[in-house]
Amino acid sequence: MGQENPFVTFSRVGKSYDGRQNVVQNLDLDIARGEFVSLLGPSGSGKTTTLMMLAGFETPTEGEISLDGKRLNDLPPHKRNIGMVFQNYALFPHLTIAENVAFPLSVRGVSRAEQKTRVARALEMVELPQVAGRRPGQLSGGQQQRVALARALVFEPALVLMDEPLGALDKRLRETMQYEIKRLHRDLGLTVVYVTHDQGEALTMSDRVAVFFDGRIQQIAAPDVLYEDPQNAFVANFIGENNGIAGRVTDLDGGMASMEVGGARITGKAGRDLAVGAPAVLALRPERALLAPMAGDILNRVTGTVEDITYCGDHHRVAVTLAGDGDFILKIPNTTHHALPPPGSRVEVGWRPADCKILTPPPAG
Amino acid sequence: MTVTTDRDDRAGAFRRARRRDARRAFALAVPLLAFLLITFIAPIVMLLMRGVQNPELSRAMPVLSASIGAWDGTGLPDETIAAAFAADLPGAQESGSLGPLARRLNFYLPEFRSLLMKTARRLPPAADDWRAALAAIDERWATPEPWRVLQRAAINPTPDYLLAAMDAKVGPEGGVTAAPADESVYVDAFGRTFWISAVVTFLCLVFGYPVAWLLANLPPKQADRLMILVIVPFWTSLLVRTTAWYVLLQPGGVINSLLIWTGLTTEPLPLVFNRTGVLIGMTHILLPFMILAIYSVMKGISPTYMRAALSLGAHPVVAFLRIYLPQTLPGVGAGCFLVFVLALGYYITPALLGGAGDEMISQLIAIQTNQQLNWGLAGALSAYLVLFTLVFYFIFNKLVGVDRLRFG
Amino acid sequence: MKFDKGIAGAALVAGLCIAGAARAETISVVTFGGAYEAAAKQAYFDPFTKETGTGFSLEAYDGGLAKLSAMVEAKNTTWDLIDLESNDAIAGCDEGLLQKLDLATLGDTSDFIPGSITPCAVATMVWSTVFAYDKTKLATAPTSMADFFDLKAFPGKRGLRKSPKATLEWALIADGVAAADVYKVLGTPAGVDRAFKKLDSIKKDIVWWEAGSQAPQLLADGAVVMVQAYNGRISNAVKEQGKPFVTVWDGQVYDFEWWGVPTGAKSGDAAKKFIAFQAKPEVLSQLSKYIAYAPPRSKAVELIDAETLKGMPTAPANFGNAVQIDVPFWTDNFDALNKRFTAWLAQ
Repeated sequence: MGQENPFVTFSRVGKSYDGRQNVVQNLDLDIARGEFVSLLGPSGSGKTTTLMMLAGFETPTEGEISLDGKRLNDLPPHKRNIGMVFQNYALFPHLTIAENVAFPLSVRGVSRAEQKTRVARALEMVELPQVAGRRPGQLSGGQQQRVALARALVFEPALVLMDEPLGALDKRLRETMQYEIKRLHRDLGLTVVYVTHDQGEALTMSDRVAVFFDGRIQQIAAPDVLYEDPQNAFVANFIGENNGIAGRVTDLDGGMASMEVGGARITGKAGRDLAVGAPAVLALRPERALLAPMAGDILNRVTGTVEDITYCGDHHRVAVTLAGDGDFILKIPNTTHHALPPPGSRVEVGWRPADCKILTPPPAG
Repeated sequence: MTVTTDRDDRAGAFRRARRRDARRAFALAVPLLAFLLITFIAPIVMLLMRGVQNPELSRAMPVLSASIGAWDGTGLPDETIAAAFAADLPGAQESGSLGPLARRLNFYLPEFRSLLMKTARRLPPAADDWRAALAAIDERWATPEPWRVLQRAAINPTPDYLLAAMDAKVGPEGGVTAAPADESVYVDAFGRTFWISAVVTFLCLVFGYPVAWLLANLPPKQADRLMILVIVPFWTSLLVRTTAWYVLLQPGGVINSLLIWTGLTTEPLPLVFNRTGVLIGMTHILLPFMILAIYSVMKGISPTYMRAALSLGAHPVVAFLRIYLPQTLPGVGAGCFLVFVLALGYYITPALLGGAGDEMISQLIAIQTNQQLNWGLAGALSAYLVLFTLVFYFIFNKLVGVDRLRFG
Repeated sequence: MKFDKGIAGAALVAGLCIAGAARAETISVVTFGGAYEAAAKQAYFDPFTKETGTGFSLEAYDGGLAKLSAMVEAKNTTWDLIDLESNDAIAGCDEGLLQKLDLATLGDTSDFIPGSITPCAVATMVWSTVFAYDKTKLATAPTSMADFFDLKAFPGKRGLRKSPKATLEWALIADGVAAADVYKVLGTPAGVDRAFKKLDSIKKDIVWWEAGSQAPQLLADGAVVMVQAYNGRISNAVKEQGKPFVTVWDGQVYDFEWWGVPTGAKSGDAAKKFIAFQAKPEVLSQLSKYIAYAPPRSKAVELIDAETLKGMPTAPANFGNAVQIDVPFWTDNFDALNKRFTAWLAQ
């Protein structure tokens, strides 16, 4: 992305509440104008704190945040001109929908007539022009979130922050809203920073996803890169499903590494910071593993026992115990080419070296 | 015999089940309802009834009370009425009902008690002309005034207590007249009661709102500590708190000593036995109600509203005034209502900390109940107090809604 | 005789506890509590128990007939013996709240002060409303009622009971009315106006009190320079707490304190026996050892030593310009005058 002229910059930002433990540490992040960046991670990973520092509700204890080349650290939230959408919509319950949407305009001293046209346009944009006179309590969750969007966008902010905006909605509504937000992003050319703990949401919506863990960005990359090429075991385990067999590095050779798993030697793309003899973790997607593979480039082969087979419609989930290590999962497409081995039978499992990575294990704790 | 369908059966079964549930729920509430009825509602109704009942004359002098209504109120009543009075008097004295009657009549006319007692003592067993005989005992019987009093006392139920509670009475010629200024007590006392209550409510709001805000927004640990400071006075007896304020506020008390010691004042400030003392004491005692009522509402206001308002570009002051404050109004309304209504009934605190011009209506009701034994007037004053409280209740319900009244 | 409500509450609780544990023959006695109750216990109750074995359960009340009236109306009188003010003793008898006493049990009563025995109640002591000052705080000693009303010569706050009783009498005495004529003047509208006019002259400097214990407290706190008080309260503050208070007897308004037996009392006979017992001169004379109130009969006065007598309201030196409260006058006029007084207070 256009990294040469970043719109939002976090530079060595740290945040601590008690002066000892950092909830965010040494954070560097550049976001380009027009980009949709998601901050993804488990709770307590620092993603929300990062968003709050950007909004101005938390102050960084070190480092610098800037927006469009302007230092933000000491600017109070109401002067940042950043639109924000909250998980629980935060529509003001005592005001009508129109008054809610007009609020950012009225505090900016926009004339009443213009407020009216812009509010109408904003409600039009989220396809809810008919609810202007109602109160938030009379609207469904999805409608409230659309109004919240309209309110965050009506003053044409430089940047829009969304804090788990779809977390309170049911699955179908969430998908519709994801589409809606993407459409607005595209049509209006918005720059969006989006916090979520739902990886599916992050992967489908974002230009780039920053995976947070333990106060640090573990990896920031486009969704496909995150999935295909995780930088470390945490990312591999957090994004999608992973067969994270543990072992020790036996060999390092250029871009490839080998590890020992239950007597079998497995080769894959090497991650960073590996050393021969050090512990390592395999990163392998269940759909990339094959049952009783043909010969060919499938160099990694391990024998195990089928534990369980679950029917999942378009595929079967096959759980296999490999070399004493349980819970190795394969996803076998439901193509009826061949019968699946019954539970208890011995099978050979295999995959290509290019389909897996060998990574350093995640930090303890 | 009627033909029923399945659907009718089901609907019937459903209704029966509902009725059974309702009966069971009601049965559970019966002890409480009975308790409330016996200990709360019935005494209040009986007290309020006292405000219109006028049974003393008809009880003590049944013949007179039946006949005196015929008198036109001018000159002297005719001989049959005087004879009825003379006939009833010994019986009333015998049965012990003369004392309550004398007390009752003394409210109408000073010295009627002694007139009646004296007459009862000296009444001859028989007389040809009772009017003359009575006038011989005391010349006041030759004037229409005591007879008019007796005539008014025969009216049951009577409007007199309710009128007296509004500083009015029925004049000698009929028609309601206001009492003379130097006997007008209650209208002013009601006005004073409302005014003191309103000022106390305002002070509680001014002091309580920021504390409630702190309670709702401090970190839990500090908020708990602050909450204890708010609650502890609740556990302390009202009398102890009032007395403590007296100790603090008196001329040689802690506050004045401190003020003089620091040189802020040379003479002790008059902080007690006046309106200042009443307002300080009542505000302190009622403050927790205001704080808790506002706090319970503030606790339910998510901090994201303020954040949302700030992020939308509102200055913190604007955000507070336009977003936070309006959402706390139900709590403010509930707190004001509670404090105001409680203040209306205040009694011990104004009695101990107030001066001569600070008597509230409850003090006057207590005096009528305990000292004057004028339970009719006490009932009438109470009736007005209940009535005014209900009026405020309805205003409050219209403005805020009673369902907002809750704590914590 | 009024007393502190807190003490009353405590005494009430204590009284109830004692009542619960008491033997069958116990007289439930209600008094104004405080110092007077303690004195009566030592002088009257304990000796009676010693002689007859009849115990007492003590309770305190605020005066007034309201509670008694409610008890009698509910036909559940829990009191057997009641300590009464004069107007309540008379009104209670009129209204049938008190039992008639057999006065023959009192024996020879010729030496009682006239008016101290009524069909329903027997007086047990004379108490007085006086004023007092703190001698360490006043350069010149006030000696007369006129001094109490003289703000020029004696600047400072005055403490008065919030009641027209005694206060209106004082206003007239201070305005030059002789003690003997007070009620004659007060019985006329012009006299009432005159009393209120005199009160007007010190109104802004009056601190009003309601409970008897407040009076010495106000003086001790320095909240007032002179205070109207019940004489026993002042003498006890001097005797027991060493306060530098001086009583001014001029214009004292004295009254009797009475024993009566409520209608429907469960141990009424024992209570009547007690009334006859305590009316004996040798018993009556004991009370003044514990509190500065005087017995209502001369045979009892004779038994009191000269030093104690000096502090009595009835001592010749103190009795010069004394007013006996006119109970019938107040029974008749209290309602009207109190209404006027209340309105005047609020003006």
